[in-house]
Amino acid sequence: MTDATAAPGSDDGGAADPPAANDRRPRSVYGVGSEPDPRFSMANERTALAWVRTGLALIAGGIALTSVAAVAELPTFLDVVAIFSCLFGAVTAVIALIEWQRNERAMRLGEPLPSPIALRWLVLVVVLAALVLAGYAVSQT
Amino acid sequence: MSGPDEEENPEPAAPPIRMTAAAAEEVYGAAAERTALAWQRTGLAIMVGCFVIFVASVRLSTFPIGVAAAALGMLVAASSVVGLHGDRYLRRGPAAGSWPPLVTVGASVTALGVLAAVASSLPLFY
Repeated sequence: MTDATAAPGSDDGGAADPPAANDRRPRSVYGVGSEPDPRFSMANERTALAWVRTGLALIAGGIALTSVAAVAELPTFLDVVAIFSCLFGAVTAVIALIEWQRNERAMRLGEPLPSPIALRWLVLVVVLAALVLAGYAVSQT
Repeated sequence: MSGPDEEENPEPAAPPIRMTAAAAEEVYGAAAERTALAWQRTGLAIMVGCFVIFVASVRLSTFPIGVAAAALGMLVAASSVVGLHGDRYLRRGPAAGSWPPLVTVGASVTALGVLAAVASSLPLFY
């Protein structure tokens, strides 16, 4: 933990003033604890972005599925799977923000990082979708 | 820090908590660059997702959804071009708030997911 760090982009050649903690939102995160190592904060941010991209992949998969179903005139049951995939992708993006908040707050307070809340659900949904689609593919052969 | 306390406590001193801009660039530069690239990847993925939804909506004849997706994609593209997220760390320092840009991309992807779900549900009714 550090109390302050210099801004890499500052060009004064000397120690930079730390940003005022009160200027940052949300207060539930930046209003508590002390400043963690910036590298940990950046790693936390990259993890949140990875969650966002996972949500995007789910949405893209859903759109691809419904497009293929429309072009190939496949059963509407695939559209239901696509809707579920898109909605879960949207929820994943929200979860990314919640996870970032929890992790950043824990780091500022010097507490152990909380366990990921949605990882098991993500795995469950992906495995379920894979089984459903594999079952459909097998039934068509 | 120097003085009598230093002799009583022989443990090595903690890393300096204040450093020059050049030193900060050296220590945090790679992490900041990885983070900037992660932002660029995410922005690119959102734009591709918007384009895919736009094409799918044209094929499914759901033009309002396609227009909304295209507008969202252009918004994200514009924010990436002006460097809203990309080199934020390198310009303003690692302690710059992460929340506003994270909310922007999170809201964009959530909106994209809802648009995609609506587009996918239309074949069920028509």
